[in-house]
Amino acid sequence: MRNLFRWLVRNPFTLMGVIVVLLWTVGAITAHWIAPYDPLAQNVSNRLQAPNAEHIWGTDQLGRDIYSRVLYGGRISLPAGLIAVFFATVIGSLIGATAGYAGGLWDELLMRLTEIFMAFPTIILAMAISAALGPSIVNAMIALVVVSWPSYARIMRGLVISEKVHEYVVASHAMGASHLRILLRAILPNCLSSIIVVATLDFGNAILLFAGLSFLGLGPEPASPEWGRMVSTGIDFFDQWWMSIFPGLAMFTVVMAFNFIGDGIRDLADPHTAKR
Amino acid sequence: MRKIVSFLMFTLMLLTLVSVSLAQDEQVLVYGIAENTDSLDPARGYTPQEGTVNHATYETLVTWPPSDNTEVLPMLAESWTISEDGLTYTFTLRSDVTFHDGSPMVASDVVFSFLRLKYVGGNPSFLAESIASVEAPDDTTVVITLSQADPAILAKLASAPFSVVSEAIVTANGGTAAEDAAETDAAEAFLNSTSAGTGPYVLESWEQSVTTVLVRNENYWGEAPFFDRIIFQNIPEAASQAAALQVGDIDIAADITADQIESLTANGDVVIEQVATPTIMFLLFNQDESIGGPVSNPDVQRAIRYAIDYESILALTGGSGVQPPSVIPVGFAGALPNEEVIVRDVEMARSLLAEAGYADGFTIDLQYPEFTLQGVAIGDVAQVVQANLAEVGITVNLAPGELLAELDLYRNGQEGLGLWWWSPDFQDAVSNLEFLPARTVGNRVNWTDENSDAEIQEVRDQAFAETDAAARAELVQQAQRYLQENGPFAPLAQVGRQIGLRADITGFTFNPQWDVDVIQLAR
Repeated sequence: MRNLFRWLVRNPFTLMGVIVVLLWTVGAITAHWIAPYDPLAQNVSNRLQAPNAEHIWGTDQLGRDIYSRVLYGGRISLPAGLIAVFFATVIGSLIGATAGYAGGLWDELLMRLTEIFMAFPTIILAMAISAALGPSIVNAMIALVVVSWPSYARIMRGLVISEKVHEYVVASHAMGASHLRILLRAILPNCLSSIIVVATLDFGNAILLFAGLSFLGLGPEPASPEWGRMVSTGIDFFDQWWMSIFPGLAMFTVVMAFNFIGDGIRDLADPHTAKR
Repeated sequence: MRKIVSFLMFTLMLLTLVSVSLAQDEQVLVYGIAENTDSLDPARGYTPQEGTVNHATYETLVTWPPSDNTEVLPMLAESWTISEDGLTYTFTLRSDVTFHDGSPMVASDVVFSFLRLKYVGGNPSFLAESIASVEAPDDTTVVITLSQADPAILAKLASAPFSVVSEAIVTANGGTAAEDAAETDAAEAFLNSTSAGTGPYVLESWEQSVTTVLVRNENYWGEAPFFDRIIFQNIPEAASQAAALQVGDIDIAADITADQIESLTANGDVVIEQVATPTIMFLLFNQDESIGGPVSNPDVQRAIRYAIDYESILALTGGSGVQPPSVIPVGFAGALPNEEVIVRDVEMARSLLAEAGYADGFTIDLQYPEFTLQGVAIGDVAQVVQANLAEVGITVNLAPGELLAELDLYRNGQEGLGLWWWSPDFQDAVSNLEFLPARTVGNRVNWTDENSDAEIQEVRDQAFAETDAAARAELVQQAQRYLQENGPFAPLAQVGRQIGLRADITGFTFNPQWDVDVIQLAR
């Protein structure tokens, strides 16, 4: 623990990333207590107010407090990105690992499938999927998982192939360990750190993609305080800059922070890159 | 060679000087608008901007007061009489009216224009459907015979499609009013390049989606307008219109949004005119229980009318909208007086819901198209409705859809609870009685003669036949009072519009029939 702290202090960008993510997470969790207003409470006669003492980030076109909405927005964007990346990692890793380990026809089959998915531009595929399933948070997350698993599968396959020729694998095989045991207990733990690095760097992307889908009206329902949707509503109000800027800043800082953390973890996992 | 070049340069400079001084003498009005013109042939075009342009170049038998649609006034016709059975209208024409080329306008031109509209198969041709025949017994008399009583015919005659064109000029350029005009009339291209009417302006050129240029008609029979030249400039985005108006590139911006008012009026060069349009936004409740569910219950429908916070919805229109008491727009003959508007009463709504057996509320989808109507996002109105109904225990899930897909559901009566808008086809209450059972909008909520009261059907049938203006207004009011109590609609707001003008422009008037009256403007 103490080592981790010392390491963080020596990596100020990572530290900043951790702090920013912590702030937004705590803000989202405690939004119920710290947000000054109900994020859904309308007060139309008070609409489009510039930031002032009562509404520090102003109000939107229905008179809702933007600061409160941005805080509550973390409850949608952060878990959505997290859950989507988690499932993409698990599914992608399993497919990649079995393909790399088994090789042969199974490998060919799975990798061609992966390539089919990778052939589509990410945002187009995600749009098509969530449009087909209908706009909702869960469907947007499904779309995120579908478009992100292939890269994990590719990375995992490569790692497993380079790992499975090591002596300890051959030894466990000679000692009669089953394929499943070798894959799960011997190979996977050695590949995990690389996958975690990739996943952390991917959080930011997932959050952006999710916001992009809701920007296009394919995410959560219209009234919900989702960052992407708030930005998209704001662009119709050109003079009222605060409507888009604050949710946009929230998105920007979170994505940036996850990238810093991802970089930090990569350096930790692979010290060579840090000394460049 | 050098001499020739310098001589040419010199002449060029002179010419420029001359044209600059000419331009300074000429009074020009530049009108910025998101152009929606499909045709400037009066018998074919049917868009708001076509109304604005053709109001300046053509004239109609009758017209409206400058800013409302309560009363039909004479124009090319001095007077008219209506037969006892309401089927024959006899118009006496003015004898001093001339066309752009100086030739006199006579009754046969009117006959030609109306028959051409009827047979040419254009978008507005349906307006002439009830006309059985048009005759000209002499040069100043026109007799219109209807196939069925149509008390709205005067309102229709005041609309741009009934513009009087010169028979001689239009037939010389391929036009015809024969029964097969839909196939044989070839005058559209001609009428898109110039006009053949009696109005104070002549169409000089029209380049679709770019500019429309009008010049003053030097042979005008009436009082000459102020501007020599009017240029309609297509500027699709409200933000670009605002910017052009701010720096004075244009004199009028027709599509300003409410949120731009503050920044535009800040330095006093620009004034904003706020006007209400007759377009009514409303909630619909499907009368078919298998589609509407709880909202097909009349008590629930009434409860929702009381649960809506109309003031909040009006605030979304930036102050230019008005709340109509019922389905007839404020400004029309037969509209209910403003003090009869439905006022929000949450307690009343709750007790009505309890009476209907929904004391604990219910959950329902609200269907609407993703669309922005005069600067008001339909989705924002839907969110206000959602919040209002939550207060009385009704949980609304917003279900927006793409415009054309939703339009299909709406027109086929497939929406349970929907949010839509209706613009009258012509400026008469009859056009909005389409909300009654078995009429256009009524059918869209499956409100038919089978599941509606005999009382409202009787009022409806009388209103569609009565030609006496006062008696008809009374019937129209009766129908609306019924709709306030019963009926599957909750009218929310008449959408407003903002029109920006340079501060030195005077004479602004707005009528839904022709939008801004460019003839009356001056500097």
